[in-house]
Amino acid sequence: MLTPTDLLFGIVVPFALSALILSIAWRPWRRTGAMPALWGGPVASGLAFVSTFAVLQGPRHVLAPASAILWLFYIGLGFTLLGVIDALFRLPQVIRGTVVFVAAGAAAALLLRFNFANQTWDALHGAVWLGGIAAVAVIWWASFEQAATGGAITGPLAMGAFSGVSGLIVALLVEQTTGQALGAMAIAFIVAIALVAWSRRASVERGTAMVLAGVGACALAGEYFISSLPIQYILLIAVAPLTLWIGRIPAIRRRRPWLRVVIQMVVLLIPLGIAAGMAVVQAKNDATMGSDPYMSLA
Amino acid sequence: MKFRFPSVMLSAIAVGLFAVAPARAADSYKIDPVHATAIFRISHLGSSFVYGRFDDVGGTFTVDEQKPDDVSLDVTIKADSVDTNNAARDKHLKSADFFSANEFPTLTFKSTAVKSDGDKKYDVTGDLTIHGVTQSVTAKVDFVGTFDGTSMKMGVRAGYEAHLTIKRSDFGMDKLVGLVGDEVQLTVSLEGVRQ
Repeated sequence: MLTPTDLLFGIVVPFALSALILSIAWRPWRRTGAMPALWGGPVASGLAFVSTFAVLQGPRHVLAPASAILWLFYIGLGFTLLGVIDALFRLPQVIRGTVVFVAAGAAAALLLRFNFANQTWDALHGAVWLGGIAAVAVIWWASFEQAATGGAITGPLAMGAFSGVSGLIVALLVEQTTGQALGAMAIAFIVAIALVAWSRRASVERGTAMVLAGVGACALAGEYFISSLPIQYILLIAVAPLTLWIGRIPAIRRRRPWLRVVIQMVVLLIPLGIAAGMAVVQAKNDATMGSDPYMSLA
Repeated sequence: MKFRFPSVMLSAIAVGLFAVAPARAADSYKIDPVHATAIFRISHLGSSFVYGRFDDVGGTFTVDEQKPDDVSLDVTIKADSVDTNNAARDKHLKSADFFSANEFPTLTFKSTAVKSDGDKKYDVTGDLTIHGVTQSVTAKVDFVGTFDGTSMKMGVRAGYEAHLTIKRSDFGMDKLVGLVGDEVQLTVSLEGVRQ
């Protein structure tokens, strides 16, 4: 159930914040002169997540957080900073990938360290899981980055669909706040889609994919380990970004740009759509007394 | 021919021994999960109360009829046993929005001080840990009674019932406060078997 606070800080504020940041960075009304700044994407998407998460979680963001999920606030800030650095400095691809791997692994270790404390994981078990989460973050980063460089509108469309569906599934099935924060990222990407369509020169290349991959991998890993989000949803979400590589197949790359975008989005939405549909059905089944247990008797 | 001591005679001797055994200083009891109940009540939209329960309650307590102030309670409740008769709500309650049950698998209460106010009623102060946050709270506890079921192989049993009101926000669980009440009334009924 969405309260007025949820609507304000989960939708209105991220929309306004993203519009302001992206307008300053991209100046979409300018047709000539300096190219739009690439830092806009990571700042807008990262702050959309962080601001929504911070406000809806309440004033509990102290180091070290009392609850594991609260680490997502700092993880969001950290990846936003990394995204801005990635946007400002042209680093070699190998270094960028290594940064994503190390940062995602470290962030996941902070988020999931209770598994060591509770003795659910031993050192080897933990290393395998953390390495796996970091590897997924790298694969997602590479997939979204190549989609963003392959076509200006493809990047924000793919990232928006990915973050939006992930947020929907998390909010419907397990935990509302992180779901809304991921949804706030999707709102930032909706703003980006509109401004990219207007500007034709703006882009979410470099930096934005790093924010989404790092925050997304940690958020979904957190939902799996903390809130028991079923594994089938994680797997469907995890494979979705891989479908974006279809745009690299020569037969598709030769198509007109708009057709290439349509093909990429349709293929991307197959696993995401299946996951979203399953989540809606599951949520309806779970709420045996109505669509929302908090309102079922209202 | 092998002599077999009749089990009835064994039982009779056992009952006799227990009947004449002197009262122990403080008897320790292990909570019987089948006969232990933890229920809670919380306001919904300010217009009604929703009740829930935890299905897995365990721990130990002591009973000392000579020194009632020496009783102690050590109760552990599994967070993922929360049951509000609605699967979606239970999942949400187990998630990071509320109990974060995988991260904080248990709710615990360990008594630190007991004040008897007569008639087998106690004010039991103790450390209550929920969602990883520990607060000192005082519960109203009634000693319910004892039952010697030794002859029925049920052991000697005793029980308490505790009543406590807390604010969930004090334990870092403040989601949906306003729609769902902050104040939670807990009732924990414990039956233990003497060890």
